[in-house]
Amino acid sequence: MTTQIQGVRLDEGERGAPLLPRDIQTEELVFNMGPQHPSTHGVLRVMLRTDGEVVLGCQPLVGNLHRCCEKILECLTYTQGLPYVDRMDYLGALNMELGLVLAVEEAAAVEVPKRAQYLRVILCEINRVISHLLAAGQFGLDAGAFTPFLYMFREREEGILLLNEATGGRLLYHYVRYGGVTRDVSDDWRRRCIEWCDTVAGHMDEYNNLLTYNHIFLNRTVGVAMIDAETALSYGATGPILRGAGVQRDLRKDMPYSSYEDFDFEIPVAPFEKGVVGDSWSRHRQRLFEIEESLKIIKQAVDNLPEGETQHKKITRGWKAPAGEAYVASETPRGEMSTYFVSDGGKSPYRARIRGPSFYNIALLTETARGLLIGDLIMLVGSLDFTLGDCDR
Amino acid sequence: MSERWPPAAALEEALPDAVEEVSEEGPHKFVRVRADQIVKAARILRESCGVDMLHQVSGVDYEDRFEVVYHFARVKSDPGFVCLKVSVPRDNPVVPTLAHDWATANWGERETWDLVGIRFEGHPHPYRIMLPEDWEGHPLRKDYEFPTDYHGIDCTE
Repeated sequence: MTTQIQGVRLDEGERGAPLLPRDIQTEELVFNMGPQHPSTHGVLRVMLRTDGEVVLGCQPLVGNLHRCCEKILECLTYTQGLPYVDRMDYLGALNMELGLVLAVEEAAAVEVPKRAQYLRVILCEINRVISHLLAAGQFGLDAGAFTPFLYMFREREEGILLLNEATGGRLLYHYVRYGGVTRDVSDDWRRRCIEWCDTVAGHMDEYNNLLTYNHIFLNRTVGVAMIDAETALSYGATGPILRGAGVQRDLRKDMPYSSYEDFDFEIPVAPFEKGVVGDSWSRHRQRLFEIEESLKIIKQAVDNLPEGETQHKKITRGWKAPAGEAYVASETPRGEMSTYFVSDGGKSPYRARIRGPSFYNIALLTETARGLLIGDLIMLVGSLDFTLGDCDR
Repeated sequence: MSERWPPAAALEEALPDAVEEVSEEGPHKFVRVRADQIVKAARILRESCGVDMLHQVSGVDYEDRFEVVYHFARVKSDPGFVCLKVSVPRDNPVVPTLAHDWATANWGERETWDLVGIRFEGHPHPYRIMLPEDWEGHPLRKDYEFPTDYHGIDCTE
C-alpha cells in the first residue's frame, strides 16, 4: 500500500530505496491512546484507527474529568460558586474566574474600579505567561527535548511565587471577585513584578535557541499537523491555534474588556520567520511571541496602576445579580472562553453556560489527525495545548 | 428611529414568518426564531451578516419550556456576537441540527443533549459526550434528581 502524507512517500526511503516492500500486507488496528498516556496532557482518551504508523481515524473521548461545574454554579450562591471556576482550566485559573465574573458584571451593570481592572489585567497576564511557558516546555518534552522544559519551569516558578504572594494561591487563586479583586498589591511586589518581566524577556532568546530554532525540533514540527484558517473557524478553535493559522483575532484587541484598550501591545499572527502558516511550529512560536506581548502589558499596567479602591463597595457577601442575561467572551491562554449567564434575581445563577476553549480545540483532533503519523499526532496534541479540566468542566 | 440591529433586520426581511421575537435593547441582543427555521436563519447570518463562527450552543431549562441559545461570532471583520434563540416545548424538545453547516455544533449540541436533554434532529453522532452512555437523566434540567448510587457505588456521602 502506498500512502502519501505530508510530503513523505512511505514506499521510498531517503535514498530512494523502498522503505516497505510494495506487496506487504497491512492490517488496520484500533487502539486507545490515553487516558493515562502522558502525552495526552491529562485524562484524554483518543481512539485511533491505524494502518501501520498512519492514523486513518481518530475519535477523542472526553468527559473523564467532568464535574458538571455548570450545575454546581446553579446550586451554590454567587460567592460560593466562584472558586469552582478556577478548577476548570487549572493552568489559566485567573482567566477563567475573570470570564465568569465579567459576564455577571455585564448582566448586573456593575462598574468595576479602575485599579481593580488593572490588577486583574496584571495577574491574568502573569497567569498567561506561566501557562504559555508550561505549554511551550511541555511541547518540547513531547518532541523529546527535556532540557528547555526545565529552563522554562525556572521562570515559571518565579511567576507562581509572585501570584502566590498577590493572591494567596499558587495555581488556584479565587482572586477575582464580583465587583473587584480580593486584595491589593504592595509597592515592593510591583517592583519585583517588573524585575520578573525583565528576567523572562531576557530569557526569550535562550528559549528560542534551545528549542524553537533547534534543528531536530524544526524537523519534527515544521509543516506537521496543518490546521488551516477555514477548519479552525468552522470547528470553533480559538487562541494560538486560530492565530497560528493566520487569522488576526484576539478578544483583548477586538472586543476589549477590563481596560485592555489602555495598553499598547501587538497581536502576533502567523506567518513567522520559519515554518508554514498553520503548522505545529507556528502554534508554538505564537505562544512565545504572546509571552513577550503579555510582558509588555504587565509592565505598562504595573507602571500606570491607578490609585483607588480594589472592590466595588456595594458588592459584598450575599450579593445577588438582578434578573437579566449576558454573553461575554474573554481571551484565556488556551483561546476564547465565554459565559452565557442568565439570572432570575435569585441567590444563585439561574444558568451559567461556560465555553471552555479546550472543548472545541479538542474537537479539531478528529479532522486534523487523519493521515498523520502517530509520532506527528503527538506533535499535534502538544501544539494544541489543551487542559482536560477546561474541556470537561 | 434609531438604526436597526443589522442581523435582526436581515432575518426579518429574509424570513418574516420565522422571526418570533426581536430584542434590540440592553446588553444582550437576540432574535428568537421558529425551531424548524434555525438552519435557514443561521445560513442567512453567514451570508449577509459576516458571521463566520458558531461560538457556543447553550441549552436553558425555563421550567415551562426549553431554550437553545446559539451565539455566532463575527471573527474576520467587525468583531461581535449575534445571538439566536429557539424555544421548544418541554415534552418534545427537538431542534434541527446545525452540525452539517458548522462543525462546532457537533460537540456543542452533543453536550446540550447530554446535560439538558434537547434532541437535535439529524445529528451525525447523537450520543452523550460527558456522562457515561448508561447515565439516567439530564443534570442541567431543573427537575433533575441526583442519583443515590451508580452501579452499586454509593454517592450519597
